[in-house]
Amino acid sequence: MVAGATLDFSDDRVLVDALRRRDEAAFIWLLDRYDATLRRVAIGFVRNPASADEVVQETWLAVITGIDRFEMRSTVKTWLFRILMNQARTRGTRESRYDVVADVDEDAPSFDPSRFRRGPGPVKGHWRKNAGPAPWDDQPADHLASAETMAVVAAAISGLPDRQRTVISLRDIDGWTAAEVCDLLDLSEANQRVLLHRARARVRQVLEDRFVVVGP
Amino acid sequence: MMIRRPRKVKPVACKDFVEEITSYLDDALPADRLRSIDAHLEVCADCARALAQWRQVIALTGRLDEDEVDRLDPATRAELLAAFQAQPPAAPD
Repeated sequence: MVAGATLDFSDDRVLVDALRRRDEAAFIWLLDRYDATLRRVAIGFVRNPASADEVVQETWLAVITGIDRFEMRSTVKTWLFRILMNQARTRGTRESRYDVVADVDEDAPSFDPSRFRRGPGPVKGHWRKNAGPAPWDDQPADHLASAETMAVVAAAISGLPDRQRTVISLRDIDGWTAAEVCDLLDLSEANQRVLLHRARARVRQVLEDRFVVVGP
Repeated sequence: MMIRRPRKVKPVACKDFVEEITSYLDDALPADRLRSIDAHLEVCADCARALAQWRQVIALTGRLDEDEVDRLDPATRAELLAAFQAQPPAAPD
């Protein structure tokens, strides 16, 4: 290999080889790529950010001591997050915070039911007049994505129930597939979708409340 | 020869559709439901707007990654790197 050549660590074989050689660049790559996501997942299982930090640190230490025994039967990503889940579940159970059912069953329609017609007849369940999603299309693009708006989105997500926050973070921030999220969190597809939908509905409502000026 | 009739689509209640937006975007609905919804979206501006806003929410949430402030603190980072370097390499095969 040419000294100084840039290695493609997104290729698991290259990454694992480099980690086994104790190539610091490989470990830094892994840290930068996954540390924030690990933290976001961990916080859903434990009582406070300090505990989450510990869980993540224990995970990294387990990676360091385990990399030479890793047999590549899964991707590095899957392996990494399984270690995290083991650490988080152990601690989360201790701190009794593991409750997915509560977040799924919570009866929270995406829009206030009073925005729809009650019927009778074919109009039942359709939007009432002027009760549809309030438009925010008139926002200039740079305003919609302004730092202020992003802070509102971030706050809305932090305020979500744990499981909803974890799912929306993995799906919409980290770009995981539904299957990856179900596998990691041991969720059925239907439950994963309910959690994601509730989370997005909440963020949408917060944005609607922010942008829509109620008329005189 | 079979005569092709236009496929019937069932009416969609807006109240139901808004709970299916995530399934719709994940392509997790049966084909006939999908057809009914697509037909509904052509005539219901409010539902089309709800769908557009869902997409906007996804796009905005996706941008949070760029503003990631949740960086590993330098002390922990240094500790982990030291632990990594201190781990004796495995014996070569």
